Amino acid sequence: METRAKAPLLLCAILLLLSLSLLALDAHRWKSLSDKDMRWFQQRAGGLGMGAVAAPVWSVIDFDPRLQPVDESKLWPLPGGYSYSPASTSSVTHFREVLQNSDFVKTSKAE
Amino acid sequence: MNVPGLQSHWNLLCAACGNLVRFLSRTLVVLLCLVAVIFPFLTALTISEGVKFQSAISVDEGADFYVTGNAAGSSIPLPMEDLERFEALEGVARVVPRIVGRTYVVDHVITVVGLPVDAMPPPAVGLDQGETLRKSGDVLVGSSISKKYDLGPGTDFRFPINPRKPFQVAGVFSSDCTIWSSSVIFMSIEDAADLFGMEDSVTDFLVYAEPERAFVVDMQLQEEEKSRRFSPLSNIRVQSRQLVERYLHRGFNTRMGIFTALYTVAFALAVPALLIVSGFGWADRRREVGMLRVVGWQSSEIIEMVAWENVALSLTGACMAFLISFVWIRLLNGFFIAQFFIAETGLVPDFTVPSRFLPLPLFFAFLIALLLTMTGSLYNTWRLATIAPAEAIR
Repeated sequence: METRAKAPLLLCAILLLLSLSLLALDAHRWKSLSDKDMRWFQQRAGGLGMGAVAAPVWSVIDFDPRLQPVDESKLWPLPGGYSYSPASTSSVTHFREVLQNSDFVKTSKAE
Repeated sequence: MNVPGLQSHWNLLCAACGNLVRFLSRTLVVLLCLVAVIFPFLTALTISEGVKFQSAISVDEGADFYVTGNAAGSSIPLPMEDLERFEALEGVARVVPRIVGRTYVVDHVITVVGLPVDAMPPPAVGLDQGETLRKSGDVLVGSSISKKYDLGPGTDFRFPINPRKPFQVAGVFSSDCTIWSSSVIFMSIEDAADLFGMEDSVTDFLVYAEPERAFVVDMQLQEEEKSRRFSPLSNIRVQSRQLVERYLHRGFNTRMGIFTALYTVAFALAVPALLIVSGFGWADRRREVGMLRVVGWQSSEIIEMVAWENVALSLTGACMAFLISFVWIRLLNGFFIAQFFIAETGLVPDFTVPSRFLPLPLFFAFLIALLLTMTGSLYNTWRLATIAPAEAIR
């Protein structure tokens, strides 16, 4: 094998081995991870927080849809359309209102 | 390597690796572009998995039903006297009144949670400092607020929305208590009602059903909801655990949120990579392909060599992006970058950034890199490898 060809192959193999080792280590760490603090907090709070937002700055729905299932940021009368809440554009989660079947009844037909 | 069928492939792989070194600047630019494309993708998926884990705990440990007031489609407080009505329903184990509100500490938006003191009994395993609530005016503060405003146990303070009422920090939540605990202040429900001026109202009732009797409670709460529509009592909205789980599944859908924005950036950055592999540097490659054809290489061999180059580049790029993401999240706790994935985090997160590294995203990252490089190079190589050698050299 050419000496020139060795370097990229070697680098690729080292990076791959290192990545796989870290993946294995992380999986092992995950198994032994203690969620005691998290469960303690959530038991006391009765379930608080669901989205990737640390505080309910713009819309509460992205923080926790249980608190406010409606996205208020879409209701603001902004000219030229609405501005997305930073919570919905800068996080890895976004909640939308779960639409429920209503008992809507049409009682007459338009002429 | 002496295996007959594999020898030619091995030789082509070696030739491909030789090419990567020979065109070093091109290789480095493509690698940098690939890392720039893959790094946000891997980091977003990793943090998303971590947050999903914490969200699942929030749903598991939460109530079976959340009952709030409902007026014109928005949530409103309910009178405290409804507590007895819900407690009297068949199959209900207990009902906990709760006040959740938002206010400011200086310029920091925080969540205020008011709960009955007996709902927060010791031991206080989730506290880094201090103890749990004991008397009126005691509060537990999140790690982020505590660090930012130096609020340790024993510190007295007042909220701007109600400066008359004094509070004292009793304890500080651990930074491992989920991301939502970082900017939260816990207090007794009476203090929260006083703070927000809610008198005998609460924002929601947490209804816990007896084991295996959630269905019965669900039916009764639905009946209660219907019966209140045309009565003087406030309308209610009932959110069951099933509904909350639907939020959880939909909220973490990768089509939502940042992923759209990230992919726009990712593919914008992929353009230079494609230009490099498909355009820049191809004058040399064109002559080289011509020479290889002159000395007897088949078109398929030339295409295979380029494919090997792409495999090596993609694998190296995906692994480099993974390693950078791992170091940044695990060792640097998402310094600077966490704020792009978890809103309201700040430059230095005051809590452990939730993350979980899985093999599948790494594999997908490799596939994306391969797709990008193959798209840019295979067609051009095929075109060059199939024209007359004299034409290619010229």
